[in-house]
Amino acid sequence: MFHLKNHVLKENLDLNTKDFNKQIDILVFDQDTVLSHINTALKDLSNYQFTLHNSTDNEEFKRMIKSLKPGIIISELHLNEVDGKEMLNYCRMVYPDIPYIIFSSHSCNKSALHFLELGAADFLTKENILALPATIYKVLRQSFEKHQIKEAKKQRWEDAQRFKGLIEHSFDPVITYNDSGEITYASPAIKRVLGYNVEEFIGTNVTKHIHPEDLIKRESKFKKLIQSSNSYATIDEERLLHKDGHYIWVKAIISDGRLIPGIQGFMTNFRDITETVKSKKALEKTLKDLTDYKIALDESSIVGIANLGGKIVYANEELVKISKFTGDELLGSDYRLFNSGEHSILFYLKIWNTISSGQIWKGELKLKAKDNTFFWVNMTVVPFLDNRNKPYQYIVVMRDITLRKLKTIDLHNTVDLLSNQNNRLLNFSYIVSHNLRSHTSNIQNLINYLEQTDDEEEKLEMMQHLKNVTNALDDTMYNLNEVVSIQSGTEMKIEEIPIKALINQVLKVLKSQISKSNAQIEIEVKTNLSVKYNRSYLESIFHNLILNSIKYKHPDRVPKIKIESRTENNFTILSISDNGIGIDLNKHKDKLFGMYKTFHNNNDSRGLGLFMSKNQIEAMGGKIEVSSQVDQGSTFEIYIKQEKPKN
Amino acid sequence: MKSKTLCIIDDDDLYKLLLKKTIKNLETETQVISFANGEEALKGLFELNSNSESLPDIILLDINMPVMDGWEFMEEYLNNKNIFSKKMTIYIASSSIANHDIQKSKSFKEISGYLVKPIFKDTIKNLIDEKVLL
Repeated sequence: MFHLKNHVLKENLDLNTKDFNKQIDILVFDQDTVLSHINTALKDLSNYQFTLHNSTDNEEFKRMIKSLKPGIIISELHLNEVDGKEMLNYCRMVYPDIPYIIFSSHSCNKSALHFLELGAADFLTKENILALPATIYKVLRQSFEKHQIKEAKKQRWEDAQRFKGLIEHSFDPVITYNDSGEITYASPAIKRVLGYNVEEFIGTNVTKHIHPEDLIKRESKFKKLIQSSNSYATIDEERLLHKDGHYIWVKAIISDGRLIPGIQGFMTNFRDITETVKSKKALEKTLKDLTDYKIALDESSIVGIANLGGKIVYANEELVKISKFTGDELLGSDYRLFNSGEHSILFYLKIWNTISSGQIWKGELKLKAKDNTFFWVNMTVVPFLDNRNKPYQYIVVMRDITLRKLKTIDLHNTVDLLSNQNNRLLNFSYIVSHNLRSHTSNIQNLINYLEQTDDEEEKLEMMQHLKNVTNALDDTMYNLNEVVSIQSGTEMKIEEIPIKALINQVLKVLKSQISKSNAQIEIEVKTNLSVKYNRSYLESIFHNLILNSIKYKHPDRVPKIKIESRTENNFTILSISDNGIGIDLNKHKDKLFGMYKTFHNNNDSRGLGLFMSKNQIEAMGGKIEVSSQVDQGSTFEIYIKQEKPKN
Repeated sequence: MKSKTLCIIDDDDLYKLLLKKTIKNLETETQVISFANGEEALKGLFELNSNSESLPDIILLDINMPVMDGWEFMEEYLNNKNIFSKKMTIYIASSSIANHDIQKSKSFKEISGYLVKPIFKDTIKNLIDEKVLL
């Protein structure tokens, strides 16, 4: 049994001792004479290299153990009065891992048992030296196995420490709990996230920490997890109650650990995502606010969005409503769709230049709806800029100001009317102070003479003058009365008057003047053109203007008179142009239409025609304009208000 | 007393006739010349300018006249003031009693006074005697 075959030993020992030292020091506590016997005996264990050391002094022996750390100690039972028991006790206490073999010259079963009880690895008598290799092998094996167990234990402990550390120092908390929800473990991170100490958290119920509103979701997830074959379930967002009383947002993963030893329940690890959820909620709120703003804007204003090319890409209900176009008609169109003709191309160009440079444009515009009616808007165009501050689209926000605008226009008209009336009043005051008073001052003068002279002949002369002045005064009074009746608009009969027929009638009256001056008259008026007017006014106006053109003909040319018509902004405009001597408007424009104003030395001038015509035209709600160049000719334009289109 | 020349610029023939009569009745040596409107007056005065003696001492200027009225005459006169070799005293003589006419006459420092027609004997006598206080 002790003669083990080398190869068996070799095999066994080699297989398991990869890291085990094969250089083995053996410390022998005995006479050196015994060393050669041991050496011989150890030859059977040729896979090992044994180095034998020996000592017979117990103090030296202790020092040698310490310095040598031998793999095996072989000791005599008693040596030099030293009790082997004492040495064994020492070794067992200080170096318990070193196998201690008693190799005794004495055989005593009682002692052997005793030593083995004290921890000796084996007890061998020297007679039985042949068994030494087997004993050594056994001891080495035991030592090796012991070593292995120790290593394994150490490894297990390290693993446990590592996993424990992983969990204990993990940033995110991990908890375990049993079937009824009672928490059986919580990692220290619970303090950071929920504010609890581990000890106070363990033993509480999971459901106590979850927001009531999230509990239902949690329970349904939990149920699914148990019923399904999945080992975990994810809860993306859940509110947990912090010890302080506020809720935090977490993302949680529940794992079924009922079959995992040491857990035997459920595991949940969760992450505090409060900040993420908060910013997400804030973003959601911002988005909602933006949506609300858009709704508010859409509800309250007329809104359109145009792309870089000015084409409409969005039109809200209000824009559809006011423009009377359908959404489909609006999309893809540009501003020209609404062009009312009120504003110049330059005006639109200015808007475009402003917004395409990234600036906001604000202003008022008159726009045209689909049914050709007009509406006024207060418009703000805001360019939306990309991160290089270049516009990528334009939002157009408009407010309907048609009513206000019409009122303003009405107000302007009223102001115009008042200032017209004021002008007429001033004109009247001028007439009184110059035209009437010139006569009365002459009368006063004449009477003064009559009183002072005794000369009968002179008296007669003065009487004659007095008669003339009185007649002139009467004429002026008569004319004034006519003007006043025009201005007060009494007995005004309005009728539909065909223009062409009326002009022909006037020309018939002026027949002799025309033929005398050889005047050529050209009429370019639409055959069916007619206006609503007072007939005698219109006759008088044409009469005066045509007569003026003949009166103030150029001495070097045959008079040519052209009568034309056109339409502009609710006005029919009749123009009378001539090639006469013209008027220096720089000098005379202010007085041209005044009463008794004449500008040429012409015996026929009474300074009444244009004054009367102007009054008649204005009484009909129109105006008269003049353009002229000295020596070239004059053009008078009569503006006749068309009937208001019915709203 | 040296004889004076008075110039009437007015389109009212009757007024001119009566004024001339009045001056004649004063039995002074006063000469009277007249023009029908501002433009004719300017032309006439330019012609007379060759002999400063024949330029008038006093001008009675109407406001409301055809072709060139009193105010226009004043502007032309001022533009050519340095051409005239004689200082002429200018009065406005108008039938207008409108305040704005009177005020306007005051805006010309070359206008010495504003006479409201009719102009009677005493007024014209004072004028010629340079005793006018207006």
